Amino acid sequence: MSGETLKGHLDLLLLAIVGERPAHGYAIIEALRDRSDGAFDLPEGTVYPALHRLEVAGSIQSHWAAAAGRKRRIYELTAAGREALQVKRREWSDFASGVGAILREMA
Amino acid sequence: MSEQDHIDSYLDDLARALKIDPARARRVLAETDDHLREATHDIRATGVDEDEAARLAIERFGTPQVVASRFSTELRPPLVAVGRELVIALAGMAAVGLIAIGISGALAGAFGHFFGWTFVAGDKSGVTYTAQRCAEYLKISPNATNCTQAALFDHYWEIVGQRIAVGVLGLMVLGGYAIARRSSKSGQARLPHGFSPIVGTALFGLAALALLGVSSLNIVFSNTSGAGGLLSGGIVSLAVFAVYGTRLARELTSPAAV
Repeated sequence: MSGETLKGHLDLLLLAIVGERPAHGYAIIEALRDRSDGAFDLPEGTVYPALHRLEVAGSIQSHWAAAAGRKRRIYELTAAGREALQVKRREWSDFASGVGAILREMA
Repeated sequence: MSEQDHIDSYLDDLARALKIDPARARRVLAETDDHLREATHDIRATGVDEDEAARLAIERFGTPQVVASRFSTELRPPLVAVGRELVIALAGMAAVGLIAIGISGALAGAFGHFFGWTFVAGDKSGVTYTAQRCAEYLKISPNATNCTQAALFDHYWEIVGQRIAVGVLGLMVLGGYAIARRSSKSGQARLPHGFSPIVGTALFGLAALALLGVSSLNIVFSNTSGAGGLLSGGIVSLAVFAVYGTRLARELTSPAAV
């Protein structure tokens, strides 16, 4: 999938992954790639700006933690982020079922 | 080249390319460092040598220019929010300016009390008024014994009374500013770091320079008549300049944490 197509849905995917359990950037990107069977394989460095934007918007929060002798930034969902995730899930579900219905009719 | 060399070189390039505030840039570099080391470690675990693993990890991360550009785009604040914050900041400075005018009026009043009204509001030598203007001044100040005294009363009121009235207006603007600031607290600063202190220091510094300069020149080369009006403004501007300057120095030496 092209980066541009994915970009429109990146917030939903990031919120869903972080919503499952707090995680650092590398783990979030791995989850994004692994769970999509490699379909969502963005330049890894471009995911961090989206994480920072979501944090500025108040959907996620982060803190430093020590792991394997290194400092690591852990991201977790906020209450506002949980609400935003629900809204985006509903929007995606409506969109996907609408597109699916049209494609089924045309098949 | 070792893993360390590859990653350090990449981080140097990224640091140069990032156009975001310094505190956030430090955090981005620390996160990138951690990411690249973990990625290199994972790639090495598949049997790739250290040099190639670090190179691959960096390639997957994206060029410093692409990453930096994405940060600039993603963190660009909405124009409306910037405009709102700018208006609030300018309202704060306007309130300070209006209150400063009010204080200068009170100071001019003190000058008038101790050094005479002429020092504050007297005309320069050679100033004359038309008969019509004199009649207007005498109508406003019926207790004045002549036109010069009536004009002095009028000018003194303009300098002391009207400035104090402007100061009261400044207090009201300050109240509005405080309410607007509290209601717009979002935790995110959209204006450049130190915006208000920089603008305040520059504006009040220039005002102090001009007012003190002109009043000093009048006192030294002309006469003291009317110099107190400018001098009071210069002294208050200098005090506000000192306050903004101190704030500026403090803000520049203690960057906000992210």
